[in-house]
Amino acid sequence: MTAAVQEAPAPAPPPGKAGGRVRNPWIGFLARRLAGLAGVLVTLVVVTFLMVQLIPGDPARALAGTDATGAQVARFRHELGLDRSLPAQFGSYVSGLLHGDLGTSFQTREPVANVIGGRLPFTAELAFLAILLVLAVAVPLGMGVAVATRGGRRRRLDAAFTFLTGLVGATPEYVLGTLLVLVFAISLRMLPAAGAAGLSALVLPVVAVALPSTCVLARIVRREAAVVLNQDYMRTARGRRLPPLALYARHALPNLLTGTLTMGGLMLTAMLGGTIIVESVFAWPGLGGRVVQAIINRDYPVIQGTVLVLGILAALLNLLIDVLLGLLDPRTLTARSTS
Amino acid sequence: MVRTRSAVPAVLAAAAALIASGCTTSSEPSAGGGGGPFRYAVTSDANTFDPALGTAATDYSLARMQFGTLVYRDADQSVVPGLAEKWTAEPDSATFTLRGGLTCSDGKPLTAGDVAASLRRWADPKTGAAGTGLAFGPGAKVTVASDDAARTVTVKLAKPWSDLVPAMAMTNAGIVCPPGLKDPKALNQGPVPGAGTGPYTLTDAQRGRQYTFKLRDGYNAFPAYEQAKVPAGERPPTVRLSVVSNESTAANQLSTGELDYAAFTGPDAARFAGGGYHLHVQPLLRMFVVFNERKGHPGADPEFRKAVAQALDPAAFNKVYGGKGEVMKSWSDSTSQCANTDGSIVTRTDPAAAKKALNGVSLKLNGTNSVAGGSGNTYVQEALRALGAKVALRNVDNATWASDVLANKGDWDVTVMAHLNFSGTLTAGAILLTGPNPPEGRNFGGIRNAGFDAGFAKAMATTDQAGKCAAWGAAQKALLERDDVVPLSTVPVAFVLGKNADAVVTGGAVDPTSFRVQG
Repeated sequence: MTAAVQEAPAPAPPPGKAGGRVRNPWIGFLARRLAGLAGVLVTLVVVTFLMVQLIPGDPARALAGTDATGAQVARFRHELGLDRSLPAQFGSYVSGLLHGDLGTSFQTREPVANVIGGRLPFTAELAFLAILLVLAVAVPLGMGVAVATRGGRRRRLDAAFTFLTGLVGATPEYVLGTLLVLVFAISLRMLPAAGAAGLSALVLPVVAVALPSTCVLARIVRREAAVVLNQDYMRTARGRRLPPLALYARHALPNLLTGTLTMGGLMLTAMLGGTIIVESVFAWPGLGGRVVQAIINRDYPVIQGTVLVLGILAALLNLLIDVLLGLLDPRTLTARSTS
Repeated sequence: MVRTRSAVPAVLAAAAALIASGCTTSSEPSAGGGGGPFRYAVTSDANTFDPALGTAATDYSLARMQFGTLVYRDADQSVVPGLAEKWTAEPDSATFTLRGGLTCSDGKPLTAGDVAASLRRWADPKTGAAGTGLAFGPGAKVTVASDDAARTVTVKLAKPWSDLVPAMAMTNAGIVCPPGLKDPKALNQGPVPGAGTGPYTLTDAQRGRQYTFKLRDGYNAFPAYEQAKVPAGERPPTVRLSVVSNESTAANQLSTGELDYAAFTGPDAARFAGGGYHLHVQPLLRMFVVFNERKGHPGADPEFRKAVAQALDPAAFNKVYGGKGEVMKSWSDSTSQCANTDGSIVTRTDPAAAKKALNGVSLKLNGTNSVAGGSGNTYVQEALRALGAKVALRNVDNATWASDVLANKGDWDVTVMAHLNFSGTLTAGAILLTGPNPPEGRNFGGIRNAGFDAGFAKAMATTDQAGKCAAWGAAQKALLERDDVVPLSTVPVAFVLGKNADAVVTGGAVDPTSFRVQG
């Protein structure tokens, strides 16, 4: 065989080179993304403030309790600043934000920054470990199945993979969490049923969060990998009898990363804001449960602060993913962002 | 040849490593023989660490551990000594004599003057404290005097309110030592060194997660509960309270030994029937119907109220919540002192008789969905609808319901009151059924019942138990005759303690200072 191995398609020349003028594409990219970030921030501030006003129920009444008199409720309302006009309340809120103050919880009188600071690490720990597990399992699993079933081989494996990932991926997290507890905590007594004490307590909630996403991502990777494996350059590589590691890690994997990273970023964002049910099943002291409590108690500052922080985190994560994609494939710098 | 198996070992290795990392961390030893802390679950985080401001179950638990009260209520609702060794009571005053050798949690002596200062702060409207209406009467003027030499504290009211002494057992009446009174903001947000007067000291507070308490050495003011009802075993030197919002999760932890105690309002309690667990079932919520009796609402018509009472079957309502509650004959159940248990003064269920008055009537039913999703509200809706009434149900969360109904800001005709009566007294419900309308008062139904008001006032004007019950009897009869309330049933709570643990259940709740462990 004389033909050289055809590598993955070479990236297009960096954009921005026109008419002899060279312009760094990163400048425009980052300017656009930062402007978008600022827009997201302003929107979040306005929307979160207005959103809580739409929730029916009186925070002062919720705080004072059912036995409170009208005078007691009125005193709480005054203390919380709820007897001021909406524009005045919004002005205070924005002024506080500009000074780095997210406000004070109506319910517990804690600074909202402390509430978030105390809970976010637990949610982040859960989400980051879960996404690592997702990537560590889904990518090799999806690729492995794609390789094993290439060209219509091992149809039973293909069917089993499709069935199992479909089944687990469609199973609600609370069902998975409960099953995991029944098997590993109650029956086998291998792991704690709930709580956040020690490494062992992390295992079941991380698996419960990661399993559905792992199945979804594994299916995506499997489908993408099947397409990549049928490309001419992969056939050539196989023809040269390259070792499997070099074949798949060097030639196939880079072409799967764009979609995988984009999907992984979206999954991580969803996990940061959406592990409420798993937190409840495992008594995990994360942000999700605290937000639910804040909504029930009409704790406006905690709702606003949490939504704002999670919104900013989501926007920053999307930016990070776009930067990573830009580094992997500069053509994306001029394309629309993932967010 | 392409090798395709390389991913499988990698996946298995990753999974094994994750499991192995979990298995390397051993779980904490259990209480009792294990030597670990006594661990119990609460369903939500604390709102405050200040006993005077507490309005939720977790607040009460934290307060009970850290702040002693002058008296406590025993399982039979009788008043027993706490920080006070004895007392004398009149309808408008009470004098408490403190035990000797009382100390604050920093070891400094707790004087009568300190106790008086704490009670003055609780009673002061500027504090915005909870429970003062129950303790002193709505809008009462309170004076507190003390004599350090005689170790006496005297509380005097401008108007008679004979619940004064039992109300001193409420956790809101917890006595705070001077360091806490000097810094109320800090007291609200966390433990203040030297502020405590209770058996335990809060040594570690992790908001939203867990709180750890240590038993004070030489504490001498434990509640003097009837010894026969105090379980055998030792007091745990360390108690850890964890926030577990999901009852099924708490049940899992209790069954695996990760918890020693949890409370259940749902079906998970059934998992612990038998098997050596200690179960105590107590009324949690008292459910009854209240009408908006203001002009323009159907509840202003006594015939309409009677028809609603005839349409509803309290026994069927009880079944909606699992059938483990008590069918009530008043706005509280038979565990409340002086509560009516005579079914003859309650309007009997008679749907046929109710049909004529209800057919075609349009009404707005408003209820909270915080109790089993509001299934009791749906029962009431369907029972009235079956007799021809057009019922618009507004089944909303507790805060919205409280604003709509308790503050009377919503448009409502009938509500199912889910009364969380932590004091277990008739008074706790009665103060919501008389007096001025909101916002000036608490009379959210706009009830005007002179017979009830007279009986209530008379009950509050005597400390003689027989006379008090007679007055309460008259008050309840007057209210039930006019169908101002329609008694339904209690929704119970099951307190479940592990196989080697138990506690005293008093006033419808487990006293967390009474935990005992064996082995």
